[in-house]
Amino acid sequence: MIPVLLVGLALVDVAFAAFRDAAGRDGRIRKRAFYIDAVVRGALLGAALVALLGAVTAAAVALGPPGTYDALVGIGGRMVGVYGAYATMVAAALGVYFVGSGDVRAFATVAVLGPFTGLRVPVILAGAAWASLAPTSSPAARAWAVPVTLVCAGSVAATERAFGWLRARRRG
Amino acid sequence: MPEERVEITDLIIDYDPETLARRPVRKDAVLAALARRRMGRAARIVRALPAPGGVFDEDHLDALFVRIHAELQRLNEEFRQGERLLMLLGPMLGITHARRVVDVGCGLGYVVRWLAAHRQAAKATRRAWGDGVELMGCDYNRALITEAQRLTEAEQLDCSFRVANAFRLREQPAIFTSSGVIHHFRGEALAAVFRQQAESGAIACIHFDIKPSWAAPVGAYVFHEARMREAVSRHDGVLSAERAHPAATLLRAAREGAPEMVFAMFDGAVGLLPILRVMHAVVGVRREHAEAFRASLGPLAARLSELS
Repeated sequence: MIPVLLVGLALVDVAFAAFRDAAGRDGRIRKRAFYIDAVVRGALLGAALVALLGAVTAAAVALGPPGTYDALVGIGGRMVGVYGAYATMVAAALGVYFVGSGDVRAFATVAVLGPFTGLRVPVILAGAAWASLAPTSSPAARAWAVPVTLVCAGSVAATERAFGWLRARRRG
Repeated sequence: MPEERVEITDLIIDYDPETLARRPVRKDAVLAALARRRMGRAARIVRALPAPGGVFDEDHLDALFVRIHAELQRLNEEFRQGERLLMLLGPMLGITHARRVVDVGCGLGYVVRWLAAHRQAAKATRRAWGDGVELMGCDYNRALITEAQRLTEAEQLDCSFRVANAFRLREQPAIFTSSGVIHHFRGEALAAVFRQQAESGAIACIHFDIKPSWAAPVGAYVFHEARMREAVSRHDGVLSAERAHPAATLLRAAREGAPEMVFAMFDGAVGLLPILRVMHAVVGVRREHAEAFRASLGPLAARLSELS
């Protein structure tokens, strides 16, 4: 269950990153199709990234000492807790933003959506670092699990910057 | 004592106020101006801008300004600036029967284009408004106006844009609007804006800007870091929040500059939670429309101070 939840959170996060990368680049008023296209592309790239990170994780489990999988699940459990709380706050604020009106909507934007965008990378990295301290029965397994965790978290954290870089390269 | 700090975008582009022709701007002059104001971060940003022969590259600046204003549009979209303006503009059009709305310093014309798109969508519904009203944006920056016009044509919107001083159009009287522009005018120039506006035959005006409060610079920092990519946007966005005029300054300047009109602040009260209403507006109407305008606002009238 924990790997599935982490994959789901990563895919949603990357899709949002793709949206933010597209936002502020097209001056039209009606641009739903532009955003949908950006999010779909982002989600596809995210799926490719998650598949790659999954392969790295699977390789670590296969090559690592016994207990590596359990160590990863222990770390992953903590990550789900941190990222799940963050995602729940953002989802609630988005719900308020789209359903609410006037001051309520402004509050969702100013108090959550803006600041939480700024906190995204620190939350991902700090969450992974804290999760890496999860208790495990085997120090050897931890030695394999922690680098894999940090690589996965760092890769997801870097996606928004990567989208910008890819966009700049496409423009030449 | 250092001079008052100023946005980078106010320094790196210059226009002849009479002809609106672009004047070359020397990088060393801008750096000296920033040094006088002890604006080290701004100087670092300006140093990175290309200036062959010591003069800023106009094509580079044009492209930069279009990117900055596209980012700014994103913030206006998120903060629903179009809807906010329409809350006041709708009733104002209803009671004044104005046939033209002119957005001053319109940039990419987001608000004007949003109004045109909204009017198109609301046509033949209960929300219909502004039938036959001309929607126009004016700005000195030709690159921004060209892009605004391109976007208008791409979406087949019923609005137009001009490289012009909005107060010198010499056509039919208008309701003047602006968003995030008014704090660029300081001291005597602020009252002069309202004077020129009244002399141009203004029927009414709605000038929105950031509402100064203890939270405004912090909020502006958070949002510009989170949403903007350009270093100039990030710098100027925060400085705009610091330089935004208090309600009392706006009202004093407006009343001094245009005694033939009456003015009030919309959302002028800062309150305990200033993050709820981050913008305020100085609203003006000709005296004969004052009572009708307040009455037409309905419950919104509670957010408008005394018109005087």
